Amino acid sequence: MMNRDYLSDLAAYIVIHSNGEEPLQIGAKISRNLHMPSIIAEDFFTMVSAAKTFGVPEELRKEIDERVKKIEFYDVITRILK
Amino acid sequence: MTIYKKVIRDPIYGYIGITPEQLRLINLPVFQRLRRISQLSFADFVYPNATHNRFSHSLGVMRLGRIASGYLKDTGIGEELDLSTEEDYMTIEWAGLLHDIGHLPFSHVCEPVFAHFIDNTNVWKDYHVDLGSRIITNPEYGISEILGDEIAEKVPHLIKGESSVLSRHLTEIMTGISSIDRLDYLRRDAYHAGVPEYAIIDSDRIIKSLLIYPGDPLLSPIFKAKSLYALEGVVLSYFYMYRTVYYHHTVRALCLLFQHTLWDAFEKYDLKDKLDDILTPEFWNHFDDHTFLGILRELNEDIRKSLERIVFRKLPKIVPISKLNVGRIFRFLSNATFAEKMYIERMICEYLHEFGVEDVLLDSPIVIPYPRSSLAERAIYIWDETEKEPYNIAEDSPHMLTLSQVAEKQLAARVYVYPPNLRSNERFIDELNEVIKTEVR
Repeated sequence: MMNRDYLSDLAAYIVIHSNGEEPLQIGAKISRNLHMPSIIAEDFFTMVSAAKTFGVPEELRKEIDERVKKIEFYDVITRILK
Repeated sequence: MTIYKKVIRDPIYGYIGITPEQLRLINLPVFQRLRRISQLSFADFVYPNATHNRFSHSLGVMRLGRIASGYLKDTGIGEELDLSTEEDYMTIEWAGLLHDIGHLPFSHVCEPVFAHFIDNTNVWKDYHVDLGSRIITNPEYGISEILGDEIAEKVPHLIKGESSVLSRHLTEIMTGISSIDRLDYLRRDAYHAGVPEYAIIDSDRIIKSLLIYPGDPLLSPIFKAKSLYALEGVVLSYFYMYRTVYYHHTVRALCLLFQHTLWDAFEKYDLKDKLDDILTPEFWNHFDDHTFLGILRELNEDIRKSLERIVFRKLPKIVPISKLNVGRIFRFLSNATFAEKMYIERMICEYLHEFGVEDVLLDSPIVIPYPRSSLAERAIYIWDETEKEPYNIAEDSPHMLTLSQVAEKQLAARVYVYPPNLRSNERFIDELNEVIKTEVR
């Protein structure tokens, strides 16, 4: 089960790697795949929306990529992003 | 057939029946205390009639819990969720009645500060639930005697939403985005704030539309297609209520100011010493909005003056967001603990003391425990009878698609300053931006 610690990084990661697809829609697929409780999903979507609105600063991208790669369900994320 | 000993008149549902056991519990001092805990903290400074309390909300959630347990029982869904006895079904009603029993004075506002100083934890969003669980299982309060040990043990799992112990469906009923808790407070808060048209919700329809995902009961609850419009109503209510009441700029200014006052009371004036016995019935049953203000006023002259700013509405004002790096503030608040937030706010004040700034308060939707704006629909799924699979409500509803496109930038983060005239001091704002750029990360 997912906890809230990953949410901010994951939201930024989705926006960085969305390749023109709607980030919120990708977020919805990930939350469903991970069986995210709706109350956590709500926070998650807020973060995706903010990352989408404000963008992710260049200087943070590498750091975020590294951290997300260490998340236990990284394979689920990459599968959905493909 | 359930026999009600009392029927209570309620502005939202008309009547709420109370069983003899429920009446015994309601009459306990620990439950009566909820009459003196405001539901919306300082919202009455903007909406004068939003003075309702946790007592009536708890009764309302119990009433919706009754609808939910009846539905689960009648449809046989309850059996699939391991509910078998009458007591199992009653647990949902009890959980509704008791879900807010651990609320501190002024409801959510005090939670991050108390969690930090009383329990040394940064996890505060469900702090009242944690306190409530301790109260329910403490025999000194008399709750467990009425519930019986088995139910008294189950209820905290349900109100905590512990999906490791209970099925996901039951936890979603209590704590999810279309939970009985939210279905009640959206309507109740809107009614008392004087904006009932912002929360027209068919709660019975939603509760009675819950399905189990065929083949995999661990997945999130899915709703029947016929509840689509009722669910849209919930999401629209989030949208309106969030913007007009929960995240109202003045309401939030009062809340943030009160949190600062509390932080000082703990940090500088040893408030913790006065709250040593907080979870004993002798203390807790009297620990309400009014007595807590009394405790704070007597603590110290500085705290009393700080409270006067709240009581007499001498409030900080928002710096125009077009002049600030709002994205950076949002990112910081998404990851920061409450203590880190306090630290940064204090530090900004120190950096900019030459301007005479007394308070800098950072705020964001991410730090408040209310449903926020237009994003909830992404977590709601409807069962497609033709395709035999669920779809996301955001994919098929024109209203939801429109809501998703509403710019969130206006609401993502705010910076309040006191004294308020600083908000239009260009040199101050330039310096503030510089500090945010270098220190807020």
